[in-house]
Amino acid sequence: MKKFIFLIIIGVILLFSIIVFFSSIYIVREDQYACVLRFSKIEKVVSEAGLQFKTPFIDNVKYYSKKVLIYDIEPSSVFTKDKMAMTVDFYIAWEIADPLTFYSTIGSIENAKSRLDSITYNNVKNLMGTLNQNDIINEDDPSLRNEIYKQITDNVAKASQVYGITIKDVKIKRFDLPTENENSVYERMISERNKLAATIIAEAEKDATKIKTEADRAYNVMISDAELTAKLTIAEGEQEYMSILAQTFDTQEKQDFYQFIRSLEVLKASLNGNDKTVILSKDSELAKLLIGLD
Amino acid sequence: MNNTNNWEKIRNDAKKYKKDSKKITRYIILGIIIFLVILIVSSMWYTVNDQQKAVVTTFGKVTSVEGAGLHLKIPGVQHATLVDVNVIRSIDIGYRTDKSGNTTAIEIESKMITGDYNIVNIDFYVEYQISDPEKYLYASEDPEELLKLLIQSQIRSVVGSLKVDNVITDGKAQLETSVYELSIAELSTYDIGLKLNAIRIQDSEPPTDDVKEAFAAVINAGQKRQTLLNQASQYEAEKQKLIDAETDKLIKQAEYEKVSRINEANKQVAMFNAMYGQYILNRDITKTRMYYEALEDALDGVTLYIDTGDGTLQKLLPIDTFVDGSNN
Repeated sequence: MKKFIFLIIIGVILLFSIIVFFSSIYIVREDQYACVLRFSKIEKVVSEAGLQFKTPFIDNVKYYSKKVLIYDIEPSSVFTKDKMAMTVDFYIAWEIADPLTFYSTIGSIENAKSRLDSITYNNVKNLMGTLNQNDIINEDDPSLRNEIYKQITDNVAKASQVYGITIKDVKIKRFDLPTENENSVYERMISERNKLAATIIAEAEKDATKIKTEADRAYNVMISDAELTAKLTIAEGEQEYMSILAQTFDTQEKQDFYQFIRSLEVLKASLNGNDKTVILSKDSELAKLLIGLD
Repeated sequence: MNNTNNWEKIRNDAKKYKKDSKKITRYIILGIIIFLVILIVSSMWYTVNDQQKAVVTTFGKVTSVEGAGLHLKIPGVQHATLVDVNVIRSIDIGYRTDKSGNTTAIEIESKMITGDYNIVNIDFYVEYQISDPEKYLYASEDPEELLKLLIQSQIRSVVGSLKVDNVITDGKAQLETSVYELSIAELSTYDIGLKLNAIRIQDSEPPTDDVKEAFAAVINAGQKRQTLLNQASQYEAEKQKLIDAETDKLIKQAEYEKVSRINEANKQVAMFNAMYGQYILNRDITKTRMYYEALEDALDGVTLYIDTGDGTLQKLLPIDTFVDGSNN
């Protein structure tokens, strides 16, 4: 009986030691901060992963994420300096940098999100108020927007520092015209395209006409040039004709004889043909000749 | 006697039963121990395949990263998380594809404004890999989501700096490159264990059917333009051919005329020289003969009257005898 009681006592002590042991150790993961709380007050913060020890029963451990956290904020509307409404949809990549401060000022991730929401929205709104729509939407370097985001990130980071939060990045993932403006954009796009199409066709017609006119002009010029060359060639022929004849009729007698031949040819040519009637004066040379023949 | 015997028997049976039940309990305990040993031994091993890396933690702290193969760990103390590092993963932006391959458009992701205040619908396909399994597991809450948000913001930045025509037609490659380069630069500052492999435009088009139609009309206009210019060029070529043919004809004709004129001259000279050669032998007779011959030719078939001067006409020709005589 004595032996039995002894065994029970040993068992209880063993059990108690096991409970004490497990209550005095805790494990910290790589992506965690462990805050050791004693009566709801942070005693120490452990950021090193691994097996850690604490005072059993008295100390509690609260864990905070060490990871970069994402907060994708609902889209909201802002106005640019030139009073244009834009829809912005931004996200925040943030992390808890100082769990002690975080615990005492905000306490939970949910609270932190609502705080970050208002800080970021105010900063985006203020910055947009200093920029014209053209400063954001333009045909310049695309990396310019990242400069704007960097500015917002810096401002939000400064404002969030007091909560033990580090802001890794604030970026606008959507940056568009409000939905109610879209239809007017579509209408403008259509009218611009129609205008462009009409311009293309008009230009093409102009260019085509130009090509044809130029072709006609070239044709006329070339034909005219060719006609000139042809005339000159013919004139050369004529000149040579004359010159050959002139060389042949080098005496007065030859010239006279040639004229005689030509006049006979003219006579033949003028009277040639059927059913012609000729009336001659009786004094004409030909009449004399004919009468003489008769 | 019988009673005593019975009592003895019962006692013996009870002893035997006690002995048996002790044996059974022992077997059960042995079985449980063997089962536990197998369980512990089997959880001491883990395998990593070629596509994976194993991040090993000891009491929550990362103590090693193991490659492919069979590895040992301390059960209950060490834990191995397998991460697919070599697998190329993808993110769809602007659309989702379900298991049966149907795609649904996500306009909130795909619709955006261009640098010239137009709106386009543009879809992207992103390929990435896990470059650092430890950072992938511990550096951020949701690495994929963070990457997607980042790329969405960079797409908006780049599209917001381009003309709509570039986004829809000839600037796609430039757009992809810009988004890729900007995203890589920003991703490196996040340091979340991801590596961006490629960003490709899946589809890029005007937002509504009406706008699409207007864009198509511009393309048609371009084709019509080409047709008009082709027709004009054809006209030009035909005219050019005509120029060649007609000038050639004109020049050839003129040359022919020139040559024939010269030949004419030479012919006349030849004729004249022949006649003149005869004429020089006997000038008067030759001249008279030529004259008569010419008249003969000329007056053939001609009715000839002589105006006698007193108002009457005397018919002279034809004279049958003369005609007959000349014909004879």
